Amino acid sequence: MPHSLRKRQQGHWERAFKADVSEIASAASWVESIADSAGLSDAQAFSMQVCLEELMSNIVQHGEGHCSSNSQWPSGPGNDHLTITIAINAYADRITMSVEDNARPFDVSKAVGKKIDQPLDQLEPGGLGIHLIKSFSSALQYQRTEHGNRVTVEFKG
Amino acid sequence: MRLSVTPLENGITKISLSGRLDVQSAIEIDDEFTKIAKENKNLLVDLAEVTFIASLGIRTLVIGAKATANNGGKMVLLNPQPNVEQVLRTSHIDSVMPITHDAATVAKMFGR
Repeated sequence: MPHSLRKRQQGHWERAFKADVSEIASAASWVESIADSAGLSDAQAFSMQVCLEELMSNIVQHGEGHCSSNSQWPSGPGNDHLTITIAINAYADRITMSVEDNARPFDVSKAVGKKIDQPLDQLEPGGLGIHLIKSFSSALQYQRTEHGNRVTVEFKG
Repeated sequence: MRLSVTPLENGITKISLSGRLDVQSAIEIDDEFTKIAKENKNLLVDLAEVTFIASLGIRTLVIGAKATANNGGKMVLLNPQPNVEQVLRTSHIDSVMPITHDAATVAKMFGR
């Protein structure tokens, strides 16, 4: 049955992951299975995947002082104590996905999204994640929690 | 993520990617992709089998395009799937490397 004709399965799903690059793929598979069982459209599922990937990689890369110039950041040992908890809520008219960490403060809602707006020879590769998160979600909220950060992105439809 | 290289006519080299071009894959293929880009002038990157792309994957493409430009050539992206193309165009990558679904006109895009 086409996704557009399937009845949305409402519910709540939650799972914790380590702040490690290999865990991003695990989280992506988990979100994909939820999207399928909840009857989300392909576009909604893909948008969730984009936001999940960018939010988690930001935490893995920057959560504990790693810098982007460090090519070893994915396997750096400084993230051992960092945990990322993903919570997904499916409602009749929208889906929300919260990404909560115990990393240093970073308000993604105030970060300026970068897109490619320079000629190739002047372009610094990278840094497009914030722009993609804001483009592929219909709303974004940030909360500073007692132990870290919580970012909630919303998807309409 | 799988990566394969095919020499075409007219001095064009095709890189075919397959799978998810996510953070982990981008890290895995970065060195090889950049090496191929540095060794070639005109690169056609076939994205038909790529099911997902993240900002780190776009970074890989941009680094490759800069390398081909340094060789006096260019990079062209071929046949991205609709969701992947949406990510590419949202990032405005098409302002620095063309995206096409018409393989027949690729040679002209490279000025051949």
